[in-house]
Amino acid sequence: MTPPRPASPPMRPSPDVVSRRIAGEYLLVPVCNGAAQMDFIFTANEVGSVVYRLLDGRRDAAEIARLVSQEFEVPEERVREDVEGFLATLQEAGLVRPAEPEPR
Amino acid sequence: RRPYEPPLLRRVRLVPVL
Repeated sequence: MTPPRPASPPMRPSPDVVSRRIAGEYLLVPVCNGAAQMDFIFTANEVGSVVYRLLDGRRDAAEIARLVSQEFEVPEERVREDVEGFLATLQEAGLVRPAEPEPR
Repeated sequence: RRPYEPPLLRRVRLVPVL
């Protein structure tokens, strides 16, 4: 049995990534100095694109899971683990980064 | 309603095999 994944802190999209919906596909293109690094790109499915667009640096995984569960009308507990795993995948790919804590 | 599928990220390599 795998141990529970630690809760993700709020994330925000990496500034080095451009996202566009093109022909029904949600594309994430890593860029460097304004030029696309065209060795590879990423595509996300419908739910993945919703999650990515909810990353504003303030919402944590639990809040995103709640919004996704409302959007798709599925139980929140079912979505929560999926969102945690997806955020970990995005971070490993360098597409998101933890948000800086807001100054008090 | 909108079908739920777990969020998925796919990496697409654009250069090749050679």
